[in-house]
Amino acid sequence: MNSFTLVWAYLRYRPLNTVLNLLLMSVGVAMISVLLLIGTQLEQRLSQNAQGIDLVIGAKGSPLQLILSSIYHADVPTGNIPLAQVRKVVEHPLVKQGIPLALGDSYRGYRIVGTTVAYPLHYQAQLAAGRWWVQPLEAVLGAEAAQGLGLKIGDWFAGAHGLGDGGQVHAQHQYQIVGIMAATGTVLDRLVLTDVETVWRVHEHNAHETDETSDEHEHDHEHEEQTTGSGYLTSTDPDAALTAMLVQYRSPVAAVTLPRLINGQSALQAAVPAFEIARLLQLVGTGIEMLTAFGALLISIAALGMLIGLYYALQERRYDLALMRLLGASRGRVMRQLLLEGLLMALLGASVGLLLGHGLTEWLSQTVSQAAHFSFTGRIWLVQEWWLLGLAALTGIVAALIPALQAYRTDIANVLADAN
Amino acid sequence: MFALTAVQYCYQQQPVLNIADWQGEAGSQWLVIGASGSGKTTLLHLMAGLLRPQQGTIVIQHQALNPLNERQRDQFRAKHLGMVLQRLHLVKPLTVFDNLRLAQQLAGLKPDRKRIEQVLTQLNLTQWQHALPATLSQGQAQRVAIARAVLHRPQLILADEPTASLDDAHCQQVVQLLQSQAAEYGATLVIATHDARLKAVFPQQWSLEGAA
Repeated sequence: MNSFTLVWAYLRYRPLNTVLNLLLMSVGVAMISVLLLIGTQLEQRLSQNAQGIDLVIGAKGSPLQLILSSIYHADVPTGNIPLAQVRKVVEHPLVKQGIPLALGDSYRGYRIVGTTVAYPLHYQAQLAAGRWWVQPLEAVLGAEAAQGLGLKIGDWFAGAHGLGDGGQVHAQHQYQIVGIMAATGTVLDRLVLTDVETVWRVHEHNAHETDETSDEHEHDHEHEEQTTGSGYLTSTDPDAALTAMLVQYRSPVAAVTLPRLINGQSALQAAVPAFEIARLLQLVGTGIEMLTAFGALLISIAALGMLIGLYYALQERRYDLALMRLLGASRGRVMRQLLLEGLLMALLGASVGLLLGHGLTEWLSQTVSQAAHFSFTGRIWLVQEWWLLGLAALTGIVAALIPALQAYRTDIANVLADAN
Repeated sequence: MFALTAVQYCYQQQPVLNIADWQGEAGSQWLVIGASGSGKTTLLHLMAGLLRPQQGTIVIQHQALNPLNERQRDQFRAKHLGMVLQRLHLVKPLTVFDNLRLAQQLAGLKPDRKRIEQVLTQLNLTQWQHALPATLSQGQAQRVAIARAVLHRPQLILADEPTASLDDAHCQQVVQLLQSQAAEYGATLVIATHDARLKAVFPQQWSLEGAA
């Protein structure tokens, strides 16, 4: 019969009180846990996906929308930008690299992105199977996209117009899968990549399609150069356009001059990811802070409930405690008994709360489609959660402190005499 | 054995108990008689080291209690004394067996399952060992309280009004149990009561009338 067994017996003896306190504590901890998990992973994913991208160029509109649609593929693009203007930016001496993005189609919810191989290489993506695209209408799938679509190398599919479900299917243009990327933990995992010219070709008028198809084999070698490099820039089509361009600076000086230059002197918009992400996190952060405060409030209510519960339990158990003293327990032993009760209840509540929080996060990541853009998981453990557990333990001890001190001061002779 | 010499205890400046000299040999069995409020419980609490007299000395098993600090008195009590309280208080969330285990642990003894089973058998409680206190009858609870008091083989057993709410048959049974258990361990037994039914059973009696 150790202290733990005795505490456990008391907790089981008052099931309603125990369950209510556990519930309050666990809901509070679960709420903070979910916010910690999602907030931390959101921040990580946002930074990870934007790493190494100094500037995003797109059509005029909301800079945040441009960043969300181009880097995170989580919003609709602001519009298209003429290739002629993009060319000027790419050729600017302060620009080290420009990665083109041509959006417009999707396949069963997965976006088809026309780009160059520089795009996956920017995220250090590696092929799990197959090869990169070298010809028009060849596609490489991200790891999640391959799994979600159930496609394998050699399979064919036709994209649909628009970035959501229900668009017009481009049945005449069948893509062949030539490669599948290994998981990168970035937005790439959910994309279908192909070359820029394929996207242009799919959106050209049907009248041109027959001629183009017959020319394809003659120009294979030419396309091989274009898809892996900057061949798309040599297009002479006056209507050629991109959705956005991800830019890397050659020099830090570019950060000062380039955005201002582009925004002021062209029809293009330049958005700085670092700035927009900070703005987004500030907006999201306010909500997270409010919910965290609510979670903390629930934990405080749980602590108060524990204090009241233990205080009244102490009134009921004055004779039990006096009896323990009579049988040889020291004042310290009796005090520790109540502190342990508060601690155990808080730790139990916090543990259940953490389990709930992780379970809920995992469920959210799999059911909320918007969350899927950021690939949340509840299967990770954050260092902050140790602190949360510690905080809950401290709360339990503090809540038990007043009843424990009262137990410490109990005059056993008085209690036993009163009982008679 | 016990010896109380010139013991005076006051509560809020009012004398509650005055004992010039009272001694009992090891193994002796005493009945302390007194009306309600005569100081019976106070006397037992003084002998158990729960209260300290303002004057006089109390010696239990050749150990003077006065010089001991609170922790030492707790330990002394746990080792040498067994108490049966008027209110048969058992720890409600624990079974009969676990109540005895708790007593063993608080007395600083090693867990001894056999000893618990032995006492339960002696007091005819084996079939109730897994019962919660709330399910016991008054008589059964009384036996558990006695089992708890004798579990660690104390040298002094103090019982405060152990028969107060019992009928004649149960009263006789409880007294016999206390006497037989004390005799088995050679313990000194002191029963404080106002129950006149016990007068015929104890040859050694001490009255608290006029002790205040």
